[in-house]
Amino acid sequence: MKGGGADDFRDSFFEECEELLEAMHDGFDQIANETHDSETIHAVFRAVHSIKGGAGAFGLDGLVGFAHHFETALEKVRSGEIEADYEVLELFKHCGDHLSDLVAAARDDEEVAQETAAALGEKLNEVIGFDPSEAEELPDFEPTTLDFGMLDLSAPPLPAGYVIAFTAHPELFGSGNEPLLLFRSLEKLGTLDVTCDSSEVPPLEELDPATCLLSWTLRIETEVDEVTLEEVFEFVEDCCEITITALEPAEGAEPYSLPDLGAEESVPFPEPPAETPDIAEDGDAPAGASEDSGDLGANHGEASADAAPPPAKAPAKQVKDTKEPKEKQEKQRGGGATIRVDLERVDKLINLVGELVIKEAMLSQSIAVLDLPSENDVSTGLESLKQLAGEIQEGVMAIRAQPVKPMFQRMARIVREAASATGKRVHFVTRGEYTEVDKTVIERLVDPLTHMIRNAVDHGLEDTETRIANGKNPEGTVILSAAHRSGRVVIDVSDDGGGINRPRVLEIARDKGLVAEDAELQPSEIDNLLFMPGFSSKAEVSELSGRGVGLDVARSEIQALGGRVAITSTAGEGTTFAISLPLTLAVMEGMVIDVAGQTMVVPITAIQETLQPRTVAIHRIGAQGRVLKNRDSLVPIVDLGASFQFRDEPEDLGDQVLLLIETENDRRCALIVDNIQDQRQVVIKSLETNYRRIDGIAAATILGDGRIALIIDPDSIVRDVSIPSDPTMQLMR
Amino acid sequence: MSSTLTLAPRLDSPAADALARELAEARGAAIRLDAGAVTFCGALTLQLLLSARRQWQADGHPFEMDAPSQDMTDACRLLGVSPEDIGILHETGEPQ
Repeated sequence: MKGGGADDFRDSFFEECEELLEAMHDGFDQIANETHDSETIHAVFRAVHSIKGGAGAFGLDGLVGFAHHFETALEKVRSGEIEADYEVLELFKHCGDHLSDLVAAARDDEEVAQETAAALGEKLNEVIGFDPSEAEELPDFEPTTLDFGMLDLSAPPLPAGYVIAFTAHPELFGSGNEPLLLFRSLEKLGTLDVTCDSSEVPPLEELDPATCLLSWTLRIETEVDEVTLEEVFEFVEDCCEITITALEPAEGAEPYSLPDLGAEESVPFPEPPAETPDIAEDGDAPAGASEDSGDLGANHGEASADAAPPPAKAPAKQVKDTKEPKEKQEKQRGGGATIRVDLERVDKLINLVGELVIKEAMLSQSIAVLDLPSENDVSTGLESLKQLAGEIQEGVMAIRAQPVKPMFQRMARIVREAASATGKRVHFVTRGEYTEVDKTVIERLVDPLTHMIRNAVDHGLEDTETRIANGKNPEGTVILSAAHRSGRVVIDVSDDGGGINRPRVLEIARDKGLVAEDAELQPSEIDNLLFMPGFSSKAEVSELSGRGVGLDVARSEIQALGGRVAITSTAGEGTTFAISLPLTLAVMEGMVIDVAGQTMVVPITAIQETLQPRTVAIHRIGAQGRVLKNRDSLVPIVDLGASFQFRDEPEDLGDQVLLLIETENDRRCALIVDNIQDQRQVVIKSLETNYRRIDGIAAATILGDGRIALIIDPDSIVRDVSIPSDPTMQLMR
Repeated sequence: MSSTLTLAPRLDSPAADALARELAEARGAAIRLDAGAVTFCGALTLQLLLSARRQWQADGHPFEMDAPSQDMTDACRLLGVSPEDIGILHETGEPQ
């Protein structure tokens, strides 16, 4: 299934898998947090079942096998036979992780270590009370294609079947699909007999090779239900005509039941396909089912196993009529109609809108030069155009915005893995998972966040004994939250561990020569030492009850996104890393300023206030240092022109303007600039992509007059500010 | 005069166009198709072969498929097409 449209078909399956895995993880979270209802486990089961169904169509046997085994265990919970306690739930979560790995491996054509599946398989067997060693003695044993030694304990096969009428539209082939493969999948579900009507096919000279004039009648004898058959056609249902008609069951047999998926929650969900008919079909166990299958059949007591046989099937049913479970899932996710769009197209649109904003600024400037009367049609028209462009821009940005939820779910897995590795019990809490952030920001945040989450579990949380000794809950808590704040997104990683061991951190920093022996540092400054490159390697930090693994790397990655990280810690109570990020990497609100003849942009989010030097108190410290007294604290003054070596710092600040900026670390400084031009939205053009990274500069933009202006990076400016060493002065906070 | 056309191994939908052209060029004379290397034959190509055989019949020339591979005959079976309808006289790979 390679090449062109077939790849699209495959891609679409894997995209569906992402959604299904998300639904599965959601379900586990709800069960863990006890916010679930009886539908939750059905939703999880459906998700795994659908992945299995799709994987079967692509011949992904490893995925099918594991999904089936997993689904069998889920069925035990679904039927109420076993309870989803902590241990079971943890196992299911690990199985969910492995299922995600298998999906990813299948997507990327990679191999997955068999050992994990085997180990999880054994644990699943324990959960479902299945002993492979006893299995062979059971009379109903039928070898299956699975690796796990699963058994067929189900009832004898029911003589049920269907007739499927199938006609392919041209789009079916255009999208890389192929009836042959669909029929091959069907063949795996039972005994298939295919009849082709080729009466419409003309001689070669009249044939359009791209139009399929064949139509098929497929008769299948199978134990699977109609929904499973429909799943084979799930990916082509929009480009074919398909009618599935149930055949009358053979005399003496119970009618083959089709679960009413739209009915009450106690109604069971369709069972796995016949190639792996390990579980008794819900509610359809015949009266003569063997004792061996009794335990499985009993599971379905609440599913009215003893109730009257379900009504006969409708004679014929369009596939779409039975798609309710999926639609229900969609509704539960709160999603309406959606389309999949190639990201490249969205990015192109974003670029074009960026250009539109630049052109609009240029037009504004040209009109300003014309010196038109203040109330003129051109300016009014331009104003409307600006508003429209702004709305378009907002709309386009919203397309790229995605909830952070899938990323948070990945982090849940990191927590589980770190907890397993360290032997700690961790309660992972996520908040604000529907907060939307630019897709690229989300993608690039995965690595730094992974570092921080691992760090929180590994080094932030104390071990269980220590927690108990300190009178804390033996189970540590890690909270990952996201929220929009002042045009940025703030993501916090908090733990309720012992907090940063500051004396130890300071000691290490001194040993490594990162701070002077006699340096007096504020707590927040000590905390920030953890971000210093070279502060620690894993080996050294593991001796430390603090933290430090890869944090310098994590911070650089976040800074590269235009973000900032702040750290707060309280001894005995825990530590919080607060990441503040721009909502998008495409535009930002900036203040356009002049300095030493250059036009530059300062991100508006960093600016606290603008001040006239004449009206404020400025003190000298030492030979060159100057500080600004602002609300009972002293703030160092930096000349932006001098910091970029455009000029020497001006002595007299009479004509200049001070921009008071603050970073996430609560560090502040006042920048000397010559003039403020304007405050406006600027389109961000990456310097790194187009040139290279320059310290102190975050990016560039194009101004209305077509010139390029550099966007300054306030964090790196403040970071480089040397703190006046006058002991009489209190440091800026 | 007759010609022999060796079929490509992968006869999926994108391959149907090219094969249609090749077949159109071979019209007007008996044809033997060598399907021994075919590993995949999709519905559109099978339809094309059906159509070609009808054309050859109408033109009054023989249309035969030789030594079809197992995958070729499997495709016929799964798509419900009788092997004779695409000129397969003997279903084994061995010439008879």
